[in-house]
Amino acid sequence: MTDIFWLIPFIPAMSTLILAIFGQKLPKKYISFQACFAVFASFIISVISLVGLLQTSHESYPLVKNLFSWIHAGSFKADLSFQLDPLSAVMALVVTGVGFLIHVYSVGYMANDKSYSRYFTYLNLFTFAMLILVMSSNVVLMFVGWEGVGLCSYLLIGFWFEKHSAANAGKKAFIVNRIGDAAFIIGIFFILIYVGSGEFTAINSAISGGAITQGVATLIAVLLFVGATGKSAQIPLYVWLPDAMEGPTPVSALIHAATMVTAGVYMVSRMNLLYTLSVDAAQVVAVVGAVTAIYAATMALTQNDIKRVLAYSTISQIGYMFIGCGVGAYAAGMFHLYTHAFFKSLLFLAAGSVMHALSGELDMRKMGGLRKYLPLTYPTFLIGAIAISGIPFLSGFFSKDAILTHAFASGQYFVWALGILGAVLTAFYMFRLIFLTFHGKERMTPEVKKHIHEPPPAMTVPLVILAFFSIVAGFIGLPVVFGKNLNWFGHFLEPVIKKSHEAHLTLGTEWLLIIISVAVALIGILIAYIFYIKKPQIPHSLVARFPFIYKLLYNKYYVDEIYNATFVNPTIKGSELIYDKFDLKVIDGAVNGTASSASFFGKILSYFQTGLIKDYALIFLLGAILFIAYLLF
Amino acid sequence: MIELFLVFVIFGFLGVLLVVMNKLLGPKRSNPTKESPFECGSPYLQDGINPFPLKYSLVAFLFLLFDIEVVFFFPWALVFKEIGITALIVMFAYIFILLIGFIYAWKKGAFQWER
Amino acid sequence: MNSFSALIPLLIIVFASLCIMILEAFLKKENKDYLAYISIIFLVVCGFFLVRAWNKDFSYFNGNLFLDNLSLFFSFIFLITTFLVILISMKYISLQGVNCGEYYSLLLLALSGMLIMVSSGDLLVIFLGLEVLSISSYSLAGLRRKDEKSSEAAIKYFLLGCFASAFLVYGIALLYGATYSTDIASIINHFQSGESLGLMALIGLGMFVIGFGFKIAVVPFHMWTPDVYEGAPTPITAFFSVGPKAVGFAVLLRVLYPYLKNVQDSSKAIFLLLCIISVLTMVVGNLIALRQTNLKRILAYSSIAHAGYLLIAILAQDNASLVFYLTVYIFMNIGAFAAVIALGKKDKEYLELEDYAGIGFKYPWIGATFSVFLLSLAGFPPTGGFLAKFYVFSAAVRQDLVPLVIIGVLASLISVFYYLRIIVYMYMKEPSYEVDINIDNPGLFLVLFLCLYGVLQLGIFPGNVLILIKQAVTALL
Repeated sequence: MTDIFWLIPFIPAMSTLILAIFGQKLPKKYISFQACFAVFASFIISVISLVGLLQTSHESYPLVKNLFSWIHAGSFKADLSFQLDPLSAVMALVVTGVGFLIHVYSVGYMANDKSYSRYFTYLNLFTFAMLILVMSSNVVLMFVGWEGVGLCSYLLIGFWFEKHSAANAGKKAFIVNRIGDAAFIIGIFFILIYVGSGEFTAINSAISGGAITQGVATLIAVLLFVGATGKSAQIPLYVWLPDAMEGPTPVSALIHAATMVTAGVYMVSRMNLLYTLSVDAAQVVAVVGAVTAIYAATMALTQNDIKRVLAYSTISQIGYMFIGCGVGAYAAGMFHLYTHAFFKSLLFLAAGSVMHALSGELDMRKMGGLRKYLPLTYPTFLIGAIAISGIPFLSGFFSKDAILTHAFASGQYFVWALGILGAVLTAFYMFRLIFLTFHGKERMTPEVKKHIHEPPPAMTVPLVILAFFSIVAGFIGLPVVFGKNLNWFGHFLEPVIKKSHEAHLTLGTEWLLIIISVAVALIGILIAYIFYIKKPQIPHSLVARFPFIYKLLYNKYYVDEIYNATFVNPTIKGSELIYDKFDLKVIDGAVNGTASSASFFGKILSYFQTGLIKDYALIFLLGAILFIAYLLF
Repeated sequence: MIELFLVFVIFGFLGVLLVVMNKLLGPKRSNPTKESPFECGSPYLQDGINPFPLKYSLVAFLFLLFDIEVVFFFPWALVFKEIGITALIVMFAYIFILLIGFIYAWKKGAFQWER
Repeated sequence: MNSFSALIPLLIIVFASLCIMILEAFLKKENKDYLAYISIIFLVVCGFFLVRAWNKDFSYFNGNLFLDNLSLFFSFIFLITTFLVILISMKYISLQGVNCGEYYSLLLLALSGMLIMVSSGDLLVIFLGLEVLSISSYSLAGLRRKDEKSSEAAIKYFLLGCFASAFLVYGIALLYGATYSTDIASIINHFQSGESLGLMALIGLGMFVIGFGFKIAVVPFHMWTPDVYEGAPTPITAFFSVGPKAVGFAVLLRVLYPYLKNVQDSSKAIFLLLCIISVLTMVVGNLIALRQTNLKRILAYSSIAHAGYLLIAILAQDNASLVFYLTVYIFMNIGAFAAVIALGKKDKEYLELEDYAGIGFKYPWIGATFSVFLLSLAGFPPTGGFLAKFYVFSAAVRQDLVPLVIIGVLASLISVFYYLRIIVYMYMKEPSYEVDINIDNPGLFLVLFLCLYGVLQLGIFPGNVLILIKQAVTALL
C-alpha cells in the first residue's frame, strides 16, 4: 500500500505538463477539473500512504523509492528517489490537503481572469515542486524542489506582470531568495564533501557515527539556515514577503502562508540531528526566530493593508516555528507548521473573499461593519483570528503553547519572554484587523457598498472546511497537562526526530505557563477592543504622542530603505560602473576581438575549401604523407 | 623496410609539392573568355554540360556487371564437392539476388532501346 | 555461441532492401509511399530480433560475424537512425522530386553495410561492410538527379571515397603481411608480442586509421564533407552525418581500444598522431563553421568538429562515454537536420541563415525544438550534449589529457557562437521576406518530438541508457 507514494508528486507533474502544452485550447471547466483533481488524487494517495506508514514498523523508516539515477559522475551520485517517513507524510498531507482546498477556491477567485490556464499550470507546478522538496530522499533533489518552488513563487507573484508593482515584487522575491539559496547550496556542497553522499539516511548516520565534528556541523547548519531565512522570510531576508502580496490571494494563501515559506522549518526539522549536534547553530535559529516573531509582529500593528498585516503575521508565526526548532522541540515546530497551514490559509482566503466582495479593496480604513454583509466570511475569519491568537481549544493554542513551554523548559527564558510578548501583539493586531474590517462604522464608498456580496460556493466551501480544521486540528497534539499520552503528533514524528532533553516541568508550572499565555492573548484582544471599538480616539492620540515610533513602525523600520541605501543602490551603481568601464571596453572588446580573429582564421582555412576535387585529394594525400612520415621517424 | 615507406613519403611529398608550387608560382590571368567552355571566338549557344542518352553504355554496364558476377561461379565449381549442400544453398541465394537485380533492370526498361 | 540467429538481423535488412527494389519496379507511382512503411516494418522486425539477442553472444561463419552486446547496441542505434531518416524523408522526397523506391532500398543496403561492420572482428569483413555502405552512399548522394550539386556531391564522394578505400586496403594488406592475420584480436596479439614486425604493422595501422579518418571526417581527411553534405538530399545528409561517422568510430573503437590499452611502447606514435588530428579537427571544424551561412554547411562543419571530441573519448580510452556521446549525437544531429528539412516546400528548400529570421515566432514548435538541438550540440545543460561532453572531458582529465581537454573546451566555446547565431536569427531578427513552408508533415514532427525526447532524456535521466552502455562495452574487455 505504501509503495505507490512516489505517485504523489508525479500526478501534479503530469497535470502541469498537459496544462502547459494544451492549456490554451482546453475549456476552463476542464482545466479547473483537472488541476483540482490532480491535487486531490495526490491527497488521497498521501492519506493511503499515511495509513500504510502507520502499519509499518518503525525500523523500516524511511521507505525509499528510487526511480532512477539522475546524476552519476565519478563517486558522486544523486538519484531521483523519494522517501516516505512521518515528516514527509505530514508535509505531503498539508501540501496536498490545503493545496486542494486552495485550488478549489481559486476556481471561484480566478474565474474571470484571462490567463486562467497559465494560473493553474503554475499552481500545479508549484504543488509538484513542493512535493519534490518534502519527499526527496537526498539534499540534491531537495534543492531542485527548493529552487522549483522559488521559481513558481516568482512566477505567481508576478502573475499580473502588466502591473509594474507585481513584476517588481516578483523580482525582489527572486533576488532576495537567491542570496539565501547561495548560502544553502554552499551548505549542500559542504555536506557532499564531508558526508560523500546527499542521502538523508547517509547524513544522519554520518552525524550519529561521529564523522562530522561540531565545528563542521555548525558551519553547515548555519549556511543551511541562511537559506531557510530567505525561503521562510526571517530576519534579515524577510523583506520580500510583504511585497509578495501583489500576487493573487489564493497564491498568498498557498505559497506565502501555508507551504513554501514553511520549507525552511521543514528543512531544519529534516536536518534535526545536525542542529542537535551543533548547539551554537540551534541557538542562532532560536534567537533569530524569537526576534523575528516579535519584530514582524510590531510591524503588523500599524499596517492598513489587510494582506500585508497577514503577511507580517506569517513572518512572525514562522518565527515561532523556528523558536521550536531552535530549542530542540522540532515536533512542536512541525506541529505549529501544521496548524498554521490551516488557520493562516483560512485567514488569507477569507481576506480574499473580503476583497472579492469589495471589488479588490485592500485598505482597512475603507472597510468596517462588514459583519452583516458577509455572514459566512465573518465567522470563518473570526475562527482563524481566534486560532492564531492562541485562545484555548483552537488549534493555534496547542501548537504555540507547545513551543513556548519547550522554550521555557529548555531554560531559554529570554526567548520565551519574547514569544509571550509576541503573543500579546499577535492577539492585538489580529483583532485590530477584525474590528476595523467587520465592526464599527461603515467607511466604504457607496458604489462599492452596492456590490457587496458573498462569494460563490467554490470559495466559501473551502473556507468552511478550513475553519473546521482550524478548530479541531490541534487535538492530535494535546499538551501533557491533559494526560500523559495524548500528544499523538509528537509520538508519530518520534522515529524521525531525535528525542531531545525531556521537558522536566512540574504539572503546576505547565499550568502556569498555559494560564500566562492565555492571559496575554486575552489582554491583547482586550486592548484591541478598547482601542478600536470602545475608544477609537486612543490610537490617534497615541500616534500624536509618539509620532516617531509610529512612523518607524509604519515605515517598517525603514529596512527597505536601509537595504536600498546599503546594498541595492551601491550594487546597481557599481554594476553600472563596471558595465561602462569594464564590460563595454574590456570584455566586449575582447569578445569582439576573439570573434573577429576566429572568423579571420576561419576565412584563411576556408580558402582551402576550393570545391575542386583535385585539391581535396591533394590535401588528403598531404595529410596521409605527413601521418606516415611521422610514424616513420 | 623503412626505405620502401621512405620512397612513398618522398615521392608523395614531391607530387604534392609540385602541384602546390605550380599553383603558387604559376601566373593567374583569367578573363571571362578564358573561363568560357569554347574559345573559338563565337558566343556559345547552350551550357557546356548537358545530359545525353546513355543507351549503349547502359547495356554495356549491365553486361559487364552480370558477366563479372558469373566469374564467381568458377571457384565455386572447384570447391563444390568439398562443401556439398551448403554450397548449393549459398549459390542459390547468390543467383536469387542476381535475379532480383535482373528483374529490376528489366522492369525499369534498361533493355529497351527506344522509350 | 554459434548460431544462425547471428545472421538473422542482417538477412532481414538485406531482404527488405531487395524486396523494396522489386516492389519499386512493379508498384504504380502513386503507391510508392507504401515503400517507406514497408521498410519501417522490416526495421521494427529487425529491432525485435536484435533486442532478443541481447546478452546471448551469437556468432556465425566461424566467429567472423558475431553479435556481442556492443554490436547489438550499435546495430540498434543504427536502426533508430535509419528509422528516423526514413520518417524525415517521406514527405521530403515527394516534395523535392526524388520519389523513388531506390531511395529506401539503398538506405537499407547502407544500413546492412553498417551492421556488417559493427558485428565483425575481421578486417576483411569490415572492409566488405564498408564497401556495401560506401557504394550505397555514393548513389544516395546523387539521388537528386535534376540537381547539379547533387551529382557533383556524388562524384566527389565517390572519387575521394575510392582514394580513401585504397589507403584502407593497403593498410589491411600491410597488417596481414606483418601479422599473417586479418583478425583484430590476433593482430593485437602480434603487436603485444611484437618483435621485428614493428614498422610494417605500424604503417599498416596508420593507413587503416587514415582510411577510416575519411569516413569519420577528421581533418585533414575531411574536405569532402561540406560539399557532399550540401549537395546530397537533406535527409541523406542527416544520415551521412551520423551513420557512417558512428560506424567508423565503432570500428576504430574495436581496433584502437585494445591497441592503446595493451601495446605499450610503440603506441605513442599513433597516440600522438591521434591527439594532433583531434586538435586539428576541433579547431578547424569550428573555425570554418563560423564563416558559413548555409545551414547544411554549418552542420557539416559542426559534425567535423564533433568527430574531434569523439576522438578525445577514444584517446581517453573511455568506451562508455564514446558510445554515450554517439548515442546523444545521433538524436541531436538528426533532430537539427529534421528542423532544417521542415523549412521547405515543393521544389524549394530554405537553407540560408537569412531564411531563418523570425522563424522562432512564426513556427514556434520548429523554432523551439531546433533551439534545443542547437543548444545540445553546443553542450548546454540540461541537454544530452552537455552530459556527453562532460563525460568525455572528465574521462580525458582522468587520463591526464588536460591540454586536449582545454583545447576541446575552447573549441566548444567557439562553436557556441555559430550555434547561437542561428537561434539569434530565429528569435531576434526581423524577417525581410516571406518564408512559407509546407507544414503538413507528420513524420517529420514525430522525428522532432522523438529527438527532443531523446536529447532531454539522455540529458536529464541518462541512468538506464548508461547501464545498457556499460553492459555493451564490457564486450571489449
